This record gives sequence, structure tokens and C-alpha cells, in this order.
Amino acid sequence: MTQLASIMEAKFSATVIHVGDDIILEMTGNADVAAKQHLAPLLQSLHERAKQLGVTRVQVDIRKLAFMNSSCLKDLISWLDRARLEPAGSYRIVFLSSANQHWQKRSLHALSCFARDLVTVEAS
Amino acid sequence: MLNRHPNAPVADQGAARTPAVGDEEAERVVSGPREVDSRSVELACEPDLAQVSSVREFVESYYRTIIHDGDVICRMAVAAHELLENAAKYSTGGLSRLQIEIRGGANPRLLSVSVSNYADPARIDELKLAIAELGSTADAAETYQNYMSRATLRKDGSGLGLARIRAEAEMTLVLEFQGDQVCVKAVATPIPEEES
Repeated sequence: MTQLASIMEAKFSATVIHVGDDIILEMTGNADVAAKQHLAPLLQSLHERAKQLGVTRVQVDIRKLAFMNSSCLKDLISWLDRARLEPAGSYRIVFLSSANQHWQKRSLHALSCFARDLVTVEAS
Repeated sequence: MLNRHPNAPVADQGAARTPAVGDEEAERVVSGPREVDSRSVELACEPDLAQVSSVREFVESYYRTIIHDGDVICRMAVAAHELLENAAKYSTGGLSRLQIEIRGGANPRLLSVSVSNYADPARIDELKLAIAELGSTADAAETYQNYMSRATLRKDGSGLGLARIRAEAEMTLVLEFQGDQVCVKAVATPIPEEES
């Protein structure tokens, strides 16, 4: 396991690790204005590392994410947009969500419609 | 950040009043059923992006003590957060006022979230256009997808907040003008039976 990136704000944190064929991005807290300054560069870097490392899957664990605002959703959308332009056989994206965080079901449904062939959502 | 609005209670218009010793009316109120028809919150605050999550968390935790439907609370929270962020970004000063009303007690039948603030006149036309587009669409989910595609091309802002309220929170949007203030109201009514 290799840690690729880590962000720690008062009410938001994110870590990116590389494990086997996967990269795992875990976000916790509130993805709002404090997260916004970090998220776009973090996802750009993740995308580049995923291609370099040849991973087959990126897991985005948001089970402990209390909320994500629309500005941060835009960063996720832009990342999905870049990732779906990659040649077939590139990495897939799996969102790990919490059934207790009702907003996640609604937001992830919209994201999965945006990139149907790329995104899978798992709820626990 | 939070200030009590001079003309309104901070929260809970349906709350039982504070009992006094020997006050039979107060004892009856306290021992009676907790169910009430309407629960409203009204807050006036200086719009500040850094504190929007704190306000959202407050109203979420408040309504969790009353309403057992987490999905209704989530829809309220999405609307409150996005409208407050818009106020923080585009207000020209003064207080912004958040008003939330959920009717129907534990089984809500109406959800209304509004934010009013002094708005930059240069933004009014853009706001009118967005609300008109979101109001006229026959398929809010498809329109939201279009907004998402447009968002990838934007350098500043996401332009997604109102579309998210319309599609994800399944609420209709109304634009009202109150003197010098603009008010954006998100309303969901009736909330379908299976969701309450």
C-alpha cells in the first residue's frame, strides 16, 4: 500500500492510496468551500497516477462524507468527463456510499447517469 | 454568524412553551402528544461561504428530532445549503434570511426552503433565466445532466446549485422580489406518500 496524497482540513479530509490494481480515494467530513481548493488538483493528480500505474479501478469512498456541495460535485463531474475520454480498458470508478447518507444516493445517481459506462455505485 | 431576526423566533414555531411550576396549561402542553402540523425555522445571518455547512448541520439536526424521514431532511438540507451558498456568493451585503417550513408533523406533506438577500443586480437576469429554464423543463433529471455537461466547460463556479435542487431534491423553484431583496424559494408539495 502506498499513500499518494493526503489532505487535512478542519472539517474535510481526503487520502489517496494505491493498493494492488486499485487506487482508493477516501473523503470524510464536509466537501464544501474548504475542500474546493484541493479537490480539482487532487482529482487531476489521481487521474494521472491512475494512468501511470495502470490501475483497473478507482474506488471513491464517501461513506463518511457528510455532504458535498455543487462546486465539489463539479470537480467530480470534470474528472468523470476526463476519465470517460480515456481509451477503453482504462480504469473504472466505483463509489462506495452509505445508505444512511440520503444525499449520496441522489447525487451518485446523477453522477452515474453522467458516465454510465464508467461508474458503479455500491451502498452499505 | 447567526443573528436572531428582529421579527421572528429563531426556531420551532410549533414548540411547547416553557412550563412554569403550578401552571396547569403548561403541564398539559408538555404531557400532550408531540405531533404538530408545522415546524418552521427562520434564521437571519451574514452570508459566509465558510459557515454554510454549520448552518446546514444545525437545521438537519433540528429536524432529525422531529421528522423520521431522512430523505425529506436530506432534500431540505440540499436546498438550504445550495441557496445559502448562492446568497454568500452573490449577496451585496446585509443579512440573508433562511426560512424552512415542513408541514405534516412526522409524516411531512410539504417542504419549503427559501433564502432572501440583497442581490447583485447584474446577477438577476441570469437567475431569472435559470429558474425559468428549470421551471419549464419536462424532465428535470435530463436538464440536470445538461447542466452537468455545461459545468465541465465553466471556469468559474459550477452553475449546478439550482439544477441540483430541482433534480436531486425534487423541488420546484420560485423567484420572488421583496422590496430590494430577492428571494429564491424551493418547494416540494405534495411529498409522495411512499417517501413520507
